[in-house]
Parts: sequence; structure tokens; C-alpha cells
Amino acid sequence: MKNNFYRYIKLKNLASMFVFTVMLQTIYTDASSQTEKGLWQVGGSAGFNRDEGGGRMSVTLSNGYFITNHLVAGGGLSFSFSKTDYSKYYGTGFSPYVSYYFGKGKLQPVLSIAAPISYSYFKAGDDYGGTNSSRWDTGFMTGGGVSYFLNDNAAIRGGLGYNFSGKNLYMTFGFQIYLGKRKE
Amino acid sequence: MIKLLLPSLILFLVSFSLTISQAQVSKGQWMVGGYAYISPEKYINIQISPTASYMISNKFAIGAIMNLGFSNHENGYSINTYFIPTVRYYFGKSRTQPFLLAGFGFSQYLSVYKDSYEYKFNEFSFYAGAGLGLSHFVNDNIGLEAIAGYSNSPITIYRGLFFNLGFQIFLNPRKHEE
Repeated sequence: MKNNFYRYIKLKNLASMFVFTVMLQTIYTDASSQTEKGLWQVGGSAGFNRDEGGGRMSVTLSNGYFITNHLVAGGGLSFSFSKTDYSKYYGTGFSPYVSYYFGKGKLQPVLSIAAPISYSYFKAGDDYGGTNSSRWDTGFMTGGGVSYFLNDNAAIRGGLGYNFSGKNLYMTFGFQIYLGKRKE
Repeated sequence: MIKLLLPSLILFLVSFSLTISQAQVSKGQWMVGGYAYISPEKYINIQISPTASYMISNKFAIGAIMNLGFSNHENGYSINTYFIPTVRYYFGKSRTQPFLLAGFGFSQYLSVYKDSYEYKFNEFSFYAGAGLGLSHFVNDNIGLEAIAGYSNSPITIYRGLFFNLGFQIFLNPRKHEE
């Protein structure tokens, strides 16, 4: 009985070791490094639209630089403006961040921290009281996840994060773009 | 920090002139994008918005923009979904390619509010939109894209007369065959 038990434990250990090794191989076994010093991590979009009763404009830019092969530091900028018959809104924000990528394969765990600061202004239309309000918000966010590199320039990223100011846990999935020349 | 942010524009300009590969759309490529956000707190907020297109020829792509959104609050919940199949037709073969874009789809919006009375708003709508775009390939995998058009889309940024600028990710199976 006892022997069987130990055999079971050992088998379980072997199985765990196998899974762990495969995981490590997935993370580390790849000739070329996916994240390299000198690369840029970029993102952003700009939009403008106008329909009945109002219009909107928004610009977001996110740019990070790989200081080392694993560490990227950067910031995001956002600006948005909207106007409708019943309100006017203006908001802007800046969010510096630091991310660390582990390993160098196609699959890389990532840890990130960000400290966003934002300002927003809201004014109700004259027919709706015409009151206005503005506020500053600061925050601190931390998160961890995994990036899977689809090619040299794009990765799909999923992870868990916690926003200390809003006190909420969140999960995100998205794409990340990497630009710049790699050393062959 | 400005030091970190400003070079992005310079980087784009430099990469425009440095990249010498044949970066253009071709049959078999996928264009992907979108995001998902899930906050499983006391009040749940789930927003899942994937987009994907597939090049069925060297010029023609079919795809879809979709969304699944759910959120609840103290007095109720709301569900917002849409599904918009899209087509794109690219012109030319250079690294900067114009294209035509059109989409037609539907959305379902349900909002339930319970207090001393129950209020329910349920709307099903059809949507259509079209635009003209310009895609510039920064490299084989990334395009910088501008689209102008008109739509009655449920997506705010595409509603009415719109203009958008953003990145498009191309997944190129040719690269993996090498």
C-alpha cells in the first residue's frame, strides 16, 4: 500500500515536472528573442464622428520603449471631446507604465504597473440645468498576464489586473504591436 | 516622458522609408483586432469585441465586427450585442493601398431597470455603413489605416459621418511557410 502510495506521488511529481518542463520550453525555447532592447511597443487610434445632435473626437496614443530585452517603459495619452444637445464633455489623461516580459519565446509572462492621471469636465446643456462639474482622478494599477507572439510585430495578450483606486479586479484580452529593427 | 512619446511619429516616418519588403495584402491573410474586458466585481461588466477579416483573394476580404456586452447595477442590467459582417476591396499593389469598406448587420440592445416598477427597453436594429480607406504597411504585419465613411452603426466611433485612424494587424501565413 505504502509503496503504491509513493509510486503514485512519484508519478504525480513526474507528471508535474513534465508539464512544467513543457511550459518552460514553450517560454524559453525559441532562437530569436521576441522582446528586444530598442524595440517600441506602440498603440493608438484617433476617431472623429458627427451624427444627429452631436459629435465626438477622441485620440489615444500609447508608446513604450524597451530599455532592456525585457523591460519596457512608456506612457499613454488620451484626449476626448464630445458634444450633444444635452451635454458637453471634455477629458484628457496620461498614464505612465512599466512592463516586464519574462523569457524569450513565443509565449511570455508579463507583469505591469501603471499610474494614470486624468482630468474630465462635464457640462449639462442649458435646457437640462446647465450645471457643470470637473474632476481630477489619479490611480494605480497593477497586472499580470501572458503575451503570445503571433509574429515579430504582434502579440495577443491576456491578463488579470487590479485597480487600487477603483478597487476593482479586471481581466483584459487584446493585441499589442511591436515596431523597430531587430538584430538578426 | 515626451522623449519616449515623440519618437513614435519619427519612427513611423523612418519605417516608411526603411521597409523594403513587399508589404501588401494577399490571399490567405487574416486581419485581426479587438479587445475583451471583464470585471467580475459586485457589479459585473463584460465587454468582448473581436474583429477579424480573411483575404479570400489578393484584393477581397470578408470579415465581421462583433460585440457582446453585459453589465449590471443595483437596479438592473443591460445587454448590448451586435454582429456586422464586412467586406473590403483593396486597390493596387503598393505599400500604400486604398480600399473600399462596407458592412451590414444587426444589433440587439436590452436594458432592464427594476425599482418600485419595472422598466424594460428592448430594441433590435439593422445597421449599414460604407467608407473609403487607406492602408499603409509599416511592415509585413502592421498597417496604419485611415477610414472615412458614413454609417448608422451601433459603434460610436463609426456613427454618422466618421473618420478613424488606427493600426491593423495582419497575420501572414506566408511567413510561417518559409
